[in-house]
Amino acid sequence: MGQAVEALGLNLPQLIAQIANFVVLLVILRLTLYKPILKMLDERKAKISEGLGAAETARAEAAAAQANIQGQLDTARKEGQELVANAQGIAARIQAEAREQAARDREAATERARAEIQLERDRAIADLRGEFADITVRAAEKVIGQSLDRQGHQRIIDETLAESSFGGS
Amino acid sequence: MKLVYIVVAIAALGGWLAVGLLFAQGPQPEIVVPAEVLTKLGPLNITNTMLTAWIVMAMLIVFSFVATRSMKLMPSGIQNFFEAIIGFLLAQMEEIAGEKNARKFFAVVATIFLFVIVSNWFGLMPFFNAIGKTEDVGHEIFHELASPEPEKLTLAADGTYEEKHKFAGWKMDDAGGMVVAKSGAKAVDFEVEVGETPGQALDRYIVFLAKEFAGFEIDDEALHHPTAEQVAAAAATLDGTGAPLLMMAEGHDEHAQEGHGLESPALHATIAGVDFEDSQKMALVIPFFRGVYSDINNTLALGIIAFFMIEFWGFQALGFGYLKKFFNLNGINSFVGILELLSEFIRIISFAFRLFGNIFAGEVLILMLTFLMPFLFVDIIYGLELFVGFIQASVFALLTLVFATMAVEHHGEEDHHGDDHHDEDAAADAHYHPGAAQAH
Repeated sequence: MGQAVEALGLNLPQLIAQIANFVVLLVILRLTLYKPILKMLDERKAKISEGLGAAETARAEAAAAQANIQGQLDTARKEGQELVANAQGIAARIQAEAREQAARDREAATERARAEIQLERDRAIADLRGEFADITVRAAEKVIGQSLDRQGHQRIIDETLAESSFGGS
Repeated sequence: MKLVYIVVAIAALGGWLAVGLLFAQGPQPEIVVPAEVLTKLGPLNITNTMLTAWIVMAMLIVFSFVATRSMKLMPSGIQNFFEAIIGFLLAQMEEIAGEKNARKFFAVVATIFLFVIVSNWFGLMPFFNAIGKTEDVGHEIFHELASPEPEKLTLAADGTYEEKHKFAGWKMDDAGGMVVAKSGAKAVDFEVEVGETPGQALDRYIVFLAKEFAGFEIDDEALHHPTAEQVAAAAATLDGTGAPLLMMAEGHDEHAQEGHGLESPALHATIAGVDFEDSQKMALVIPFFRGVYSDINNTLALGIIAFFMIEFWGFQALGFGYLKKFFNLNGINSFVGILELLSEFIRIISFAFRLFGNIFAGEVLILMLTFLMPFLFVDIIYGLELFVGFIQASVFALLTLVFATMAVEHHGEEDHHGDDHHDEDAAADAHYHPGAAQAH
């Protein structure tokens, strides 16, 4: 045993020194390496999971906003369509009314013109009638005054008629 | 055409190997198992493995300090590198031990891994086992023989040596100071045997010097038991060629009485010293750097730490219930418990020798190959050693982790948790196939 120990170079102070070396290295590396790096790794892990959570939330929010906007757009489109339809209805009504009015106006105008023509014609007939009577009266006066024969009568009437401006119709 | 290429390639490889053999051959390796002592600090030998361990520690501490000096959330450069390593280790450990245990064991297991792997890989640097200080072995042997209180030899009360001791050295140009191990240096070893008196050893030493340095011809049997005539002839040869010279003391002068000389029984003369020529030294290069874990002290220290931490965690997790695993009265289980207890201690030895054996063998292999076949083949071994260095670090750390995980687990039939099946399975695997993990 003793010989084996010597042959291998086993040596108690060296063994203790090596154990001490390891302990020193352990303590120092714990301070300079493991603690800061494990802390950093954990921190980064937390940050990343936090970031992922935030991204998830943001995505959900964006989706919600998108849906909201889509809904609003749909509503607006529907409203617009309704408005357009309304306007088209109104326009059609106005057009129809205008057409009706125009037709009515035209009719009225025709009516009026016709009435006026009638009136004019009536007046013209009345005037003619008065004139005719007048002529007749004057022709009669002449007849009475000159006592004329038949031929005379005829001549007188013809003369009277020729004197009057009443020529035909 | 193709054949030409193959021939040229083989010729080039052969030429390369020949160049290596002619100009770059390493010295004949002087394999020393104990780490060489560079200097002494009180009771503590500062060995080359100790020095290397300190350098490795300093590297680890400095680099880790630089890496974590100003931590950024977005890592880059050295911080990224260290984070990757720590992250990798943590992930591996969590897989084996579960998240909670991995955190608990992390510092110790990671330190074991980092210390071992950096030591192993650093030990593959070319200046390892090559640059060192020289020890003048030729003079040292004479002083050890002549001294009444030698340092390396042990003299019994009857004036003979109690223990065998081998003085190893190389035939070198130079001794003293810092050197790079020269190519092709020849190893020359002188061994002091049990039951020999200093005088007899001196006679053999004279014959040994004559044979190795002056071309004195003698067979091996006579080298171990030279006759007086042979010793005289050897001394004459040394005198004739001039190197190395035996310095004879004149008659019985005071030097001899003070222990500065030694009487040769064969020559009947007191020899005051040996003088080596400058180009004919017997010396040994003591490398400044040697692989940390090619020293059994260092691997044993690591094994003891692993053992201690495993038992500590066991007690911490289970209190004195931890001992139930070893001491119980359940028929056959009480016997198994004793075996378990024994295996806990045997682990220290298996930890220590697995690492020591692998790393030491690797160093010897590299030294032998640089001596036998410098260039080319040794590159393959370097590649292999990179792998071995990683494997050994992993195995040591992994076994520590697995044993620790087993130690903190609840034993006994009634408390088998269903929820952490994964952990138990991993530990059970390691438990039932320890051979697989220890095969390396």
